[in-house]
Formats: sequence, C-alpha cells, structure tokens
Amino acid sequence: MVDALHEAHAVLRPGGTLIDLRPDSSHPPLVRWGRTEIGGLYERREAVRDHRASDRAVARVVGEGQFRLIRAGLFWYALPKMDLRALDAWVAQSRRIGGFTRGTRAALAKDPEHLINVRRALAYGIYRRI
Amino acid sequence: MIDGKSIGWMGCASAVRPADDVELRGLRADRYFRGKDVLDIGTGNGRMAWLVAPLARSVMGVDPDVEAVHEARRERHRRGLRNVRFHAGPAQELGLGRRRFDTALFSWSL
Repeated sequence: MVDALHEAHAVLRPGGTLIDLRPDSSHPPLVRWGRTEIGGLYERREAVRDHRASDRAVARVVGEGQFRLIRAGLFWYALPKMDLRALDAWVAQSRRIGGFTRGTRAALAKDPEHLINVRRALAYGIYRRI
Repeated sequence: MIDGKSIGWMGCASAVRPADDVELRGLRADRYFRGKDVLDIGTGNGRMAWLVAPLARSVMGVDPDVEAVHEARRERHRRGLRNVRFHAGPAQELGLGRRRFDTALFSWSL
C-alpha cells in the first residue's frame, strides 16, 4: 500500500491531487426495511485489517511529507433493494462482508420477501501532492 | 430478487458498488477532475473511468487484472471515448514512463 502511494506520488505533478475512496470499516453496513432499522452486517476481520493498514499507509506518506490532507469525510449510499435470498447470496460471495450482526437475519426472516435496504459508508480523503 | 432483476449479476464485484455517479457526488470533487489528466489506479472494468471521462482531459485506468483491462478496452471502443486509455500493471509499479497526471484516484483499491 505504501509502495502504491509512493508510485502515485512519482507520477503526480507537483500540486496534484490524490483521492482515496473506500468502504469505511468503522461504519459497518446498515440493514433496513424502508426507514425501519433492522440491524446490520459485519465486515470480515481481514477487511477491517486491510482498512486499517490502508489508513496507516496514508498516514505514513503524509508523515513523510509527500502529501498533505485537503479534506476528508464520509458519505452513505444505498445498494439496490433486495429480498433476503438475494442478500444472503451477496453476503455469501462478498470478500468484505462476514455476515449479519446478532439478531439481524432472524428479524429479516420473519418476512423474507420484504425488500431490504442496505446502506454502506464510504470514506474519502483528498490530498495535495507536495 | 433485486429490484426485479436476477441475482446473477451479483458475482460481479462492481455490482455491489454504487451504480451511478453517487461516488462523484459524494466526493464533491469535480474540480479535481474537470480538465485534468486523471489516473484511475485499480480501475477494474473502468467503472470510475466512465464517470470521470466526461469531465477530464484524459483518463488513464491501470489495473493488474489483465482480463478486466481487456474488458475495459472493449467498453471504451463501444462507448467511442477518445480520452480514455487503459494499462495493465500493478499499482506499485505503474510502468507509465514519463507520463504525469493532475489527479490520482484510488477507488476501492488502496
């Protein structure tokens, strides 16, 4: 990760911009029926570990004086609505999502045809190349 | 069922990512793309490149997945985009020679 950031520094013009956008492991996905919050999903341990490693890599190149933070933030987006069967399929194939938080799937199973809203957080950082 | 569609598309990693320009709107970062030479690191099948291309002067998408890059090139031809190019290579060793960029984007790739 640090190597990739060093390479980005090498190919950016001075004063150029680095944008880092990725799912935010500190805000796991939320599961809702309409506006009613049902529960959530948790991320796999490896995904959380990778997210933290990416954070450390960015902090390192900032510490090295290669980039300076312009602004950072977080926003949420909604996945396409899906029923429980589709959500199960997505969770099963996801490399990031480990499963449902306690009680979430049992609650959803009471009405498996009900369309589910999943909202995910994306974190971003925008940096100036020094 | 997903909004009336088959779940077959869920095998594609990008299918669970925002389907429209929600990322660009969320970033509020048009100024970093408009008229710029943009490097999309970890471009995959070019999903972000298509979104940035109408704003940017040029977009170079790089990804180590050769198949994904082939797919992106085919899509570029289909879309008739002249300001988008793709290159197969790892982020740690981009292999872009002397080429320089105004903006480097890591979208779900760092």
